[in-house]
Amino acid sequence: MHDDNRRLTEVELSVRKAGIDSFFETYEGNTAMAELKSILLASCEQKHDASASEVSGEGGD
Amino acid sequence: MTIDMSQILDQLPPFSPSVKMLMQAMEADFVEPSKLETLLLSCPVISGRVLQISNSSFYGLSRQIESLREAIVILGQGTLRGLIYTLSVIKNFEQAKGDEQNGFSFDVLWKHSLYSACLSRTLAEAHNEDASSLFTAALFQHLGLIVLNRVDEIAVREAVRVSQSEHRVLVESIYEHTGVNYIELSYQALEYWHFPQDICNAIRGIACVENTQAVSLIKTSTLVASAFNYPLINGLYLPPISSAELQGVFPGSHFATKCINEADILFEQLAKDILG
Repeated sequence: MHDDNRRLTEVELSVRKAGIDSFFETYEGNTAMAELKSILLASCEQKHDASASEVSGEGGD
Repeated sequence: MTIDMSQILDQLPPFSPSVKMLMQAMEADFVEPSKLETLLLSCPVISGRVLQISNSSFYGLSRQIESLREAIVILGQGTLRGLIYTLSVIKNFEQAKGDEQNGFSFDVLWKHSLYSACLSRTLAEAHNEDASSLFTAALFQHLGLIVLNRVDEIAVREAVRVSQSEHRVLVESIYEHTGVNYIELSYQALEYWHFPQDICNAIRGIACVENTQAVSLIKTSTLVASAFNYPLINGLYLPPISSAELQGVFPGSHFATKCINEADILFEQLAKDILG
């Protein structure tokens, strides 16, 4: 009924990363918010990388 | 300037007679499925969305629901009540969609609220919190802003401007300009409409900035929604999360990826089914 393994395309990845960079500018110097930013960027990369590994037959996470 | 909250509640937009009858009927502990079906049929927009959402990953049912009677029996009256109340309130504020006022668009506000709700739900499931209540609480946490904007557009506009230009938390800026905590107003409005108490209490927890995991989950979801290009208002300053809160919400990046992935899927479906 739905795609339960949704991956980010190249375009979606860059849009999302740009949004994250822009949003967190306001919180520069705040350690916890910097940690949240890192987590969100890592999650974007994981969602995108898993797509590439599926194409190459390496499997997802 | 201080606005009287009870006067605002008296000015809430009324539901249509058929929706009002449906909501009143659902306040009873039990309603005959045949009666409920008849009442739902008199609210075609809401019943259409009930069927769509019943078949979405929101409920994760293994079989297709093809009729309202099936939805009533399979979802159960308690679940259906929360869904119908949610859809009724959104439908009641639909006329505000498409408007651009005070630097915010109601379409954008609903998308922000819906993404926050989807992530709150997936995080709540992962942390064994009440996923259904947190979904609805996150969805309606900013309802008071829409209501307040109808009452005093000028004060809200100035409060938004101050929040954007001075990096002030919106709820505090609005309070200074109107004397109203708009998240408290969201709580009062849902209670006025007799929403289930667990949902009202979850919103009150946000308004009172309670130090609970549920509030941390919704607060984090709100930040993530804004970072993912679903801002409440562009350039708005949101309350930052603490390190302790962050550790409690996202104990690891794979955990975060899993919850965010589920929220993305849910959001894509519900954005069509709920917001149209």
